Amino acid sequence: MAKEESSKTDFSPAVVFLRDEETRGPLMVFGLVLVLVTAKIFYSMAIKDSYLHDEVRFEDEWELSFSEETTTLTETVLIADGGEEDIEFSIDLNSFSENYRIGQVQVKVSYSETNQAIGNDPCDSVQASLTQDSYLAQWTDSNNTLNGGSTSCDDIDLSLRTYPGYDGQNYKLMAHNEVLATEQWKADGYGLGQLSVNIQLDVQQSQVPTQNDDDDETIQIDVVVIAFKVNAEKT
Amino acid sequence: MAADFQSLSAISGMVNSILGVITLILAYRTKNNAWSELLAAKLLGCFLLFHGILMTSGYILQVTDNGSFIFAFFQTVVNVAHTASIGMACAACLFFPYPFFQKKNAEQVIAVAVLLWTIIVSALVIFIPYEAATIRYGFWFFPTVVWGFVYVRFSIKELRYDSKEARGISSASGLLILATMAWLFSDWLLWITVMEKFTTPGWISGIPTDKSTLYLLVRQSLIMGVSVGALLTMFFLEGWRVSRHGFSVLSGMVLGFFIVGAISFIVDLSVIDVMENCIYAKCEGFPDSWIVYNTFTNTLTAFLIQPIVLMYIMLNFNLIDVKSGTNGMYAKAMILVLVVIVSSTVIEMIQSIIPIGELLTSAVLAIGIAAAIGWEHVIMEKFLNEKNKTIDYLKKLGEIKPLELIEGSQVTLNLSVIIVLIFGSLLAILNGALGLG
Repeated sequence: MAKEESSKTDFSPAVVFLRDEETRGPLMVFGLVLVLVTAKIFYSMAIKDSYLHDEVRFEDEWELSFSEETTTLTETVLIADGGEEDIEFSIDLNSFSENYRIGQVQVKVSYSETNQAIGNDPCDSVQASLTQDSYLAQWTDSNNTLNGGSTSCDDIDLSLRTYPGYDGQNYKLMAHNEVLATEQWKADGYGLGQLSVNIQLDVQQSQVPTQNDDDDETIQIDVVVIAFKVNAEKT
Repeated sequence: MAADFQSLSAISGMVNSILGVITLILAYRTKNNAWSELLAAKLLGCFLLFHGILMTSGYILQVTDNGSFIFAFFQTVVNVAHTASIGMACAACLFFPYPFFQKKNAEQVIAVAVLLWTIIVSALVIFIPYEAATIRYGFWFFPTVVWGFVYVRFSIKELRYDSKEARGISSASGLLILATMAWLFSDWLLWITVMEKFTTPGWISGIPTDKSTLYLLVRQSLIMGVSVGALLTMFFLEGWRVSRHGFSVLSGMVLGFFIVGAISFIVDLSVIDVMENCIYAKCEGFPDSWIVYNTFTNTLTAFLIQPIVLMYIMLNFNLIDVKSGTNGMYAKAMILVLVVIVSSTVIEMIQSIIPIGELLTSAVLAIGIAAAIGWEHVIMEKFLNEKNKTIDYLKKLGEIKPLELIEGSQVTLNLSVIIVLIFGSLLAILNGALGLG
């Protein structure tokens, strides 16, 4: 009697549970299913394409370089003494290869004394400036030269940085992938549109009597548009 | 839009906490149930309570500035509540629906074990956060495996050997798996096919660079492997059962997850390019439509469906006595709280997607509440009509030891919970003031 009572209490429920002959087989199959599904998920997550784990976790060092293309727009204008002209240049990407963006525009204003006079007619005075308007560029960049002048027939050189931070120099940075490394150089719209160059002329006439008939000048404006494409190489 | 859904976490916290408190009150007022069922009810009540604290504190963390006292305080509350809730779930699976641990001092042993687990693991999470928190979360696999084996054994007993009473146990264990791990199930098909498309950019990228990925990979495989394995098994066995006995609550839910998982697979495939961009290009946010779908499946399951299922289990499987004395009043309060909170939440969620006038939604909500109060009796009847007594069947099988718990041992779990609450509060204040770890 005592032995029967003891057998009622001296068993391990877990052992009884697992040793049930009616269900032992299905329990083993279930255990196998759990192991197989876990193994499949571990394979997918930890082994398959595991090279990507480092890609998404760690940043690589990238060296960025820039390929450049340039195009030149030229206008020649005749300006009367004391006159002023706003010359518009339409800048677009049509003349550049694909994926290029405008980085900088350089403007050269050139002229010479065209009036023929005895005893040489002195060079005229020319003032040139880039007019800040809706043209999308870095108008406040410290490297810009937005205006200049000449009284000696020297060329007047102006420059305007259009793309933020663009100076054409190679540099290195840390990033997860090429897209992120070059992201800074993929913005659209900079440097596109109408660039306006203002020219003012003040004629210097000859001091020789009868030779003081100079009342205008021909001025040439060359706008060199520098476009760039960024290249990234993992170092 | 996603930001609006963050408040779901707070609502869920409220639902869980209220259910936990009412369950504990009812469990302590229940006198005639088997000791293992009563202990499971207390453990599940504590689980709901700590889970509620975890969710509410988690929400507060989201809206608090990192670095403040409040942030550090609730960070510790989240830590302790999370540890305690996992401990409670792991302990509960040893007693219900199949009592694996049948000893006179079962309640004392389990109370001490949960207390030690909470104190040690919470402290470890403060000092080695990544490793300890990753391993801690991995312990979710344990209840799923235990309930999975119980489900399979008693489903086979019912389906192959015509033991109709075995259904009570298989149904309870299947529902418990859903109540704890269902948040993973809405994407089950994705997890067993091309999960790396999501996990590599989504999870692995978030591992600190000075930490090993192995902890997370092993843990996640374990949790997802056993959960999806259990769900696949339930698809098969519930499908078999439906062909013989028709639909039940469990088979309906399993079928629901089967369909949702298949739809989610197609929905998730549509955003794989967004995930791939995170690897090869730049991470961009998911489309709003995907966020809405995910909220109505994964988030809703985790935050609202799971506590409802747990409540259903407790009422339907006789874990707590809701008939005698004034206990019925508490059970009614539990149902009303649930119906009102869930209906108002769902209405708010719908409103956030389709902007309807607030007057209109308030009116709909009022109708919903009135209907809930009016129908409360019917809902309650439905819950109580088909009560399952799992323990009677196990007694018939001779797998229940005729034992009485040591007198007074019931106090140890109360004591253990009180110590955890005090420990958590002190640790939170210390962490808030001194910045431990």
